[in-house]
Amino acid sequence: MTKLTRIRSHHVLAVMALMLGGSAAVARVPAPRTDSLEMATPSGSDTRETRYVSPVQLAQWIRDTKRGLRVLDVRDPIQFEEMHIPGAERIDDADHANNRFSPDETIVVYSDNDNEAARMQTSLRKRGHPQIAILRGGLSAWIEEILNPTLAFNATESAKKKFDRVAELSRYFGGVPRIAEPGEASASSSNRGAAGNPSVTQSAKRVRGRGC
Amino acid sequence: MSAPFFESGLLGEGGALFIGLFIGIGFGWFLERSGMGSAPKLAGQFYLTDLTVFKVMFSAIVTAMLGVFWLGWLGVVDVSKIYVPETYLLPQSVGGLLFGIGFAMAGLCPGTSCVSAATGRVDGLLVMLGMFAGVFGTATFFGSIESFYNSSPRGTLLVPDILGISYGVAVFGVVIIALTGFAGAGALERRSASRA
Repeated sequence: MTKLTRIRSHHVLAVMALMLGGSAAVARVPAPRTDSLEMATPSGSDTRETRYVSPVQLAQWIRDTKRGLRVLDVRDPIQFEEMHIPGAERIDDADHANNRFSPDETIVVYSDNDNEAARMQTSLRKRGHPQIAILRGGLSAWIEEILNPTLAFNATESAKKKFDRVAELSRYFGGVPRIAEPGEASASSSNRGAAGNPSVTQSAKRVRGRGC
Repeated sequence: MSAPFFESGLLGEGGALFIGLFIGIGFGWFLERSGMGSAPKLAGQFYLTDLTVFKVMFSAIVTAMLGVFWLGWLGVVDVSKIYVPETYLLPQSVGGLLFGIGFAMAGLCPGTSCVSAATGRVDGLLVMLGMFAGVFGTATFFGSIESFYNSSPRGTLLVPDILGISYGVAVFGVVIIALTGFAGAGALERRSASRA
């Protein structure tokens, strides 16, 4: 049997994987994003794509009084009265029919979870409104990342630098940035600032429930 | 419009669940066809006599990793929208240890227990029931373990960030590790077979 006939399919697959992997080492592809301060702005023409903004990005926009920014809260009135993002307007299915949005405005929608906000986003788009972004993680993420940001006690230098920027934003909104003690629970399980807000714990449960 | 389709708005919750059903069926089919409905075969992983699990799973990981990378390069997938679970060092380590102990004892994991049960094996059915009992118990007593569950958070950690390398270099590194592992697994199996 010649060497060529001894080549099996898995040899071919291995060579293909090696070539694709080797090419990947020199190709340029953005890594999965973990730094919410550098959230990319999407292309302006495709209104069908779901835009997301991170809590940190939204906090920067609010602090910098970004022109034309409108933040929409789609939760019920009682939840809105209990707590909402500074400057947010409450909106529901009945309200948005009468709302007017200018093409110059940047609309950010949030709720307790991304799915509810996505429904409002879809509904507004069907009415021809301009691009609308969803606050990734909803109000829970705002509470966790802006009001109660926590840095791990053994964080890397890059993580500390990122945290310094977030901490500055947090203080602007009356938040309490802190560094976790060894073995301490994260801010998502703490009642500080969140006042036992069940949506924070539910947010953590939902996120951790993903996977195998 | 690019993938992931749920994050892009192409799929709603219902559509995503519907697609998930087909993905689950496909996953189960591949597991069964590769023999992972059999507890002895899976247990062989821990005794280093049968490394099919390692080879099947790692080859799937490499395929998906290369697929995501190159589809991202082509613009078909928006890699920045892919959900990456956060790392909670201590609870995930303990959970992984418990998972490994249970896997070695039962010879089945959650996914393969469903495959085994679907092929009529009683042990698979019992492991499935045990899995649901564990899920129910954890949910019932979650309040007691919540602080531990959320302890030692490290945020979203990615290998490229930890090692200070590019995404592509990390992909290449995993491919090298996988191919080396496949060669080593084959050698281990041959040695085990010669001793038997």
